[in-house]
Formats: sequence, C-alpha cells, structure tokens
Amino acid sequence: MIALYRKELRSTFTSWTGYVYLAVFSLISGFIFTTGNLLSQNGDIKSYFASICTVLVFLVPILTMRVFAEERKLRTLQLLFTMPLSLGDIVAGKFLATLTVFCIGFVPTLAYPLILAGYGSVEAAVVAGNYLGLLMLVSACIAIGLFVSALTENQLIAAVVTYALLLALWLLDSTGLTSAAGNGTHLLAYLSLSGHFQAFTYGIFDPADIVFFASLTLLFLAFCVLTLDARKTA
Amino acid sequence: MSDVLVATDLGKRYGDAASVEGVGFTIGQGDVVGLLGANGAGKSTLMNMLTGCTPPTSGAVSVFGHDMWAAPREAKRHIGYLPEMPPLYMDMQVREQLAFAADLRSVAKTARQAEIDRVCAMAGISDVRVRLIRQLSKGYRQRVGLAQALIASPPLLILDEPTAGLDPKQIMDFRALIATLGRQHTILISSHILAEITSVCTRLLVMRRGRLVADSTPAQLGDAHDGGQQLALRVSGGAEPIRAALAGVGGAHLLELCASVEAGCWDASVAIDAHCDPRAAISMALAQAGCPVLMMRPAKATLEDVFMRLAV
Repeated sequence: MIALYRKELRSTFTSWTGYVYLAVFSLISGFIFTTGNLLSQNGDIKSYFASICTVLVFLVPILTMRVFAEERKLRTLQLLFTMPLSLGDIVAGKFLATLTVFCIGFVPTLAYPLILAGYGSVEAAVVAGNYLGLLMLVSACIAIGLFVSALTENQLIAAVVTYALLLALWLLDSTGLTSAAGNGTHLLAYLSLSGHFQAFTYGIFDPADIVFFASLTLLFLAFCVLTLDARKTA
Repeated sequence: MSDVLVATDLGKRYGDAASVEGVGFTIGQGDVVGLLGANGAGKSTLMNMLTGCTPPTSGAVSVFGHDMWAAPREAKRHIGYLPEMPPLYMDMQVREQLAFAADLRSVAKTARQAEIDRVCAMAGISDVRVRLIRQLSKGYRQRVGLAQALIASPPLLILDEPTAGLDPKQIMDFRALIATLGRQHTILISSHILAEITSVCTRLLVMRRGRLVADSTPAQLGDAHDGGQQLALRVSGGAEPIRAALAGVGGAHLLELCASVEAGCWDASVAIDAHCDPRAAISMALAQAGCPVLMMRPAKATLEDVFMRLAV
C-alpha cells in the first residue's frame, strides 16, 4: 500500500494535475482571504472557510478524475491486480495519496489565522473545527471522485459525473425541495454536505457530522473496491 | 518434484459463453511449459486466472500450495507475470517503472538498484533505463514488461505471448534468455506460434476453444496423436474433385492442398488415422474422380500439422 501511495504522489507531480490543482487552489484561496479578510478589514476567519470549502468541493474532480480512469485506459490495473496487493490496499493507497495532495494545498493557508491573530483575536477551536471539517469534507468528496473514476476509462466523463454528484450533494439543502414536508425530503436534507459542514465552521465538533462524513467516505471507498472487483470478473 | 502450479477444473464463463472450460494441469519445479492455441482459444483468459487477475467461474488455482483466492498475497508473491499487453505507465522512466515494481514486491531499498540493474541486463534494456516508456518502441516495451516480471526473481514466470512485437534478432535473444531463465525458474509461456514454443519448452499444453486438448512433450505430441503419420500425394486434375474424393475416404484427412510445381497437378498432405492404411482407398477414389495419382509417399507428421489438427 505504501509503495502505491508513494507512486501516486510522485505521478501527481510528474503530470500537470498536481501543479494545476495547487496553483488554482492557492490563487483562489489567496484571493478570498485578501478580499474577504484583509481588504475588508474582517477579522472573522469563518468567512474565509465558508467560501473556500465550496471551492474545494469543485476542485476535487481535477485530482480524482485520472486516478482509476487512467489505470483502466493504460491497462495498468492488471499490474496492480497481479501484484501482492489487495483491492483494499489499492484503493487506500490512492485515496491517501490524493488526500495528501489536498493537505499540501492547505499548508500555506495555516498562515491566515496567524495573520488575523496579529490584528485581533482568533478562536483556536473555530480554526481547528474548520480544518477538521475541511479534511472530512474533502475525504468524502475524494472517495466519491475515486468511485466515479473507477467506473470509466474516460477522464472527462469521470470529472463531469463527479462534478454533478458533488454539486447535487452540496446544494441539497439550499434548494426549496428540502424545506417541503415529508420523510423523503428529510433524508435529502440529511445527505447535504454543506449542512453537515456548517457546525464545524463554528468550532462545534458534533459527532453526528463526524460520523456522517466518515461513513460517506468509507461507503464510497467500499463501492470503489466493489467496482474494481467487478472489473476483475468482467 | 514439488508442484509449483496446480490448476483444477478451471472454468470461465461470460454470460452463457464459456471462454475456458474444465482446464486442469500441474506444473512441477523447473518445467518450461508452452501453452499453445489459436487466437481466441482462451490462453490469455486462462493466464489471467492463473495469476489472480481474473477470478474463475469454477475451479481453483494453487501456487506453491497457496490457494489463489484464499491466500492471494502469498500466491502472487511467487509469480512474475507478463500479460499480452505489458502493463506500463507511459509517463514513467524505465527505471522508475522497475523501481515501482520492486517496491510493490517489497525489495529492500538498499538492494533495489542492484535488482533493477540485474533485470535490465537480462532483458537487454540497460541502454534505455532513463528513457520515458512512452518514447520506447513496442519491442522495447515488451522487454521492459519482461524485466518487470523478473523483479525480485519470482520462482514462477507466466509469460503471455512474450515475443509479440519483437524483431527476429530480439526473438532469438529471447529464446536464449528463456533457456537461461529455465535453469532457475519454472516457466509457463503462451504463444500461437509453434516454432517459438517448441524451441524453448519441455512440455506442451494445447488449448482449443477453451479446453485443454493435449498435454505432453513436443516429441510425444508429434508421435502420439493419430500415429503422427501422413501421406504426401501429387495428383493430376482439379482441386475440387480431389477434395471431394479425399473427403469420402475413411481414415484419411486432407490437411493441405496446394498447386504443384508440375503444371496441372496438386500436392496434397493427408493425415492418416492410427492403425489405418487407406492408401488403396485413396488411389481408387481419386482414380474414380478422374484425378490420377502421380506420386504417393509416407511422410511423418510435423508438429505443425498436429497443432493444426488439435488447436484449430
């Protein structure tokens, strides 16, 4: 698993995808912080996290689209299938490598709360809650992206379908649909990513939200393993 | 001699169609076994099942006593596999690809460089180590795939059509390499080219339409099947009457009919069933068809003829 993790990380940065993600994320992140906090003299870090989480959700497909789609296209999955690796190892290695790239993108943003702290007070719990929330949100989005990538060998299709799924899950509770009465609408509201992320932005560690994101991540990673297993059988 | 690979009643179905059915054999230590069959006979499907790449619909595979589906890690650790299309990352350098394979096979970091040097030298790719795989020719990619299969020196090598894309010189080098590898490894090698297999293998498995139809040494295969006897004929007349006349003779099977160097004549190769002498019947049938026999002599069936009869 470690071997695959290392290879994935290396190949992300030998192709353009890793650099494109880091460049786009850093640019948008810096822009949001500069305009939302520095120029508007706003000391509340929550407004930065509220905007950046939306951006992150839509950057996920850039990194996940190629993960399995490319392996399928090049037929290199056959190499992984015949090496002493389990399907769980393959999925875990790729998931952790993708998550690591996202975490690398977070590193420069650690300076933002420090900058704001220099001009006023920043609550440590709020900052920690936001970073934990981002990590959990991104993990779930990556798991969904990997699952979609395992379904096709076309990277473009993988990216578009991932966008569609994440957009739907993100916007579930901003639509009028979930405010209508009925059990089905409650379920839709419960599946909303933004709804579960909300509490983290206030520094509240609600176990229900943590369990939701962890379950969603594990569920889609399990779907990914099942998809690869079905590929072996086909 | 201990069993390296045991395949028991292997089968693979895609919907209602059986790609491989009831295939069973055992390969012992040090064997160099050829898997022969026409294109579409099920060789690649069988190899994918033997290497754990595809689960069988029925049957079992055991490698050094480890069941491929109950203990896949242990079983796969003993196998080096070169599929028909070498699984290579196009954006990697050759040395990076081999380092990745070494890492996957848990080769110690300190021994990795020496191992890469060793397999590069064996596969003849030392000169392209720092080249990107996407820049290599098909023949070189095939050799990188072979080098990858040799990493960590797995005791069982399974090679699917390994000489595809190689030029004649490379094929000669490859045969020499297999001869060298055969001293240290057990090898299962597939091909639809008979000459390639008979020159390097001590045992042949022949597949036809997903089933194993022969399992013997190249010499036994030539001798045993249908007595291995043939008749070579030169007949005057038309191709169709000759075909029709020979089709009506019991115990004789027309293998090949081609225009002779002698004008107006045809040369035919006819296989004869064991314990059967249809020479008189052939002469009579052709004479009655208005196609006189100008020459008839016994000829030993070549392995190629036996293969054609078994596998096609």
